[in-house]
Amino acid sequence: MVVEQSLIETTVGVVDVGIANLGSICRSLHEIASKVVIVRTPDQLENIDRLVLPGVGAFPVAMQRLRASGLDSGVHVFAHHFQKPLLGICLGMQLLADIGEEHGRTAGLGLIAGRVRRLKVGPRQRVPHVGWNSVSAVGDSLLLKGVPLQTDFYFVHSFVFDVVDPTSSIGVCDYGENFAAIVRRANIHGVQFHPEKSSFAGRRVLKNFCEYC
Amino acid sequence: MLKTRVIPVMLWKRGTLVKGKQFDHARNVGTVLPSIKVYNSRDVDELVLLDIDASTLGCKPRFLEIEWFARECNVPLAVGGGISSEDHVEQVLRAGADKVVLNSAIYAQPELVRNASLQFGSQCVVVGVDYRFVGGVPTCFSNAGKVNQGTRVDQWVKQVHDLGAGEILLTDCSRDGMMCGYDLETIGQIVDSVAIPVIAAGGAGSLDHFLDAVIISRADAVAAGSVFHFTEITPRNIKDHLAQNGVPVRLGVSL
Repeated sequence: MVVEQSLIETTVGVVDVGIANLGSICRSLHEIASKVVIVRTPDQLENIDRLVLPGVGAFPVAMQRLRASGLDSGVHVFAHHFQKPLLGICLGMQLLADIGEEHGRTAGLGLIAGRVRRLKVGPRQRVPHVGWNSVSAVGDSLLLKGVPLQTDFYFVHSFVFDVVDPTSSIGVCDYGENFAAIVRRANIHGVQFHPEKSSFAGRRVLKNFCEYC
Repeated sequence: MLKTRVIPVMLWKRGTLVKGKQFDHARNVGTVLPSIKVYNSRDVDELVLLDIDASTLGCKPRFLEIEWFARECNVPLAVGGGISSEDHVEQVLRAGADKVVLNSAIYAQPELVRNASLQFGSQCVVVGVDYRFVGGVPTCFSNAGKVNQGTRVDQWVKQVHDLGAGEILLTDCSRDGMMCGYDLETIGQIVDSVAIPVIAAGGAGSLDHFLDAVIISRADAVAAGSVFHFTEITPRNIKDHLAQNGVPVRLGVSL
């Protein structure tokens, strides 16, 4: 295992939506960034250089909890107004959308135009899409810098992000249909896979976020 | 393309790693934390960690230990044993597990499957189904294979599937630890009856056993314990063998 010798001088905030495990993402980031802070209230965002919005769980529950803590507008101000780097992971990426269709329709953070809908499945296709699947970069991706083509990442999801602007999807994965595995609009990034669970390749993605985004 | 997963299953009892035969005669095969570190450095696809004592003793999941283990794990970790409430599910996920394995408790309260999947997403709800043949019919057993639930496996799997289970971890108790090969027939039947991934477990002892479960029974993932404790076979050997036979697997990258 390649151990990074020096930490990147940056303070990374990790949003605690209250339903996801933060242990593995925080531990991964601790090996990369000089400071990692768990963010539970909007005022904590002030001293943070870059923000990770992780997520496991259901779209409406996560949005409800973000709204309850005021972090919905906090994240919006951080990424949209201050233009600081934001990385949504899995459900956290889906929350960047305008609308989610999981258990009814719920408004998302509206940071990248699009909607989150159920995966379209073929006859022998299973949902959720669970496991290791390869990601093809579309154009240049800062997050995939140094990552070989067609590297496998770990996915666990039943819903996918349909972006309105096709240039927002900068990495695709094939599971019956091609769906957005990496989205980006300016300083706002999202990955459908779990970098914190994608072994060495996932570490590289997180490192790239801390270094280049 | 989605890869077929190879998953080591670690059985855990009062702090030590154990492995038995046919869900009995558990013997000590090491400690959990170093094993997780080794699997992790070998870049395995996923790990399953089951506390085989908790349900029988009626204890809660050991959240603190789970947290220690999860911290060492850079690949997906599914944790089971003693999970009998939504609160347990939440605490196990908070401790760092990516998925919970529900088993004994849900026979009495199947709604836990629904509630857990509604609240945390079905992708993190694995239902462990342990079975033995009773009168020629695969029948569900709970509490580490000791209590006959009298339910047919196919009916139970359909029920938990409808309740929102995200994956099925299907284990034939009588093949467990015997390294005689998987129960290909039952696995194939269950795979065909549900639209969620099925992880085959119980009986793997050779490279071809894994291949059979994937090719013949169409399992989405293959799990094993003894083969990793008692033979020289590694997850990577299995994946190489699967790849040579045309099965898409993740061979990993070195960065």
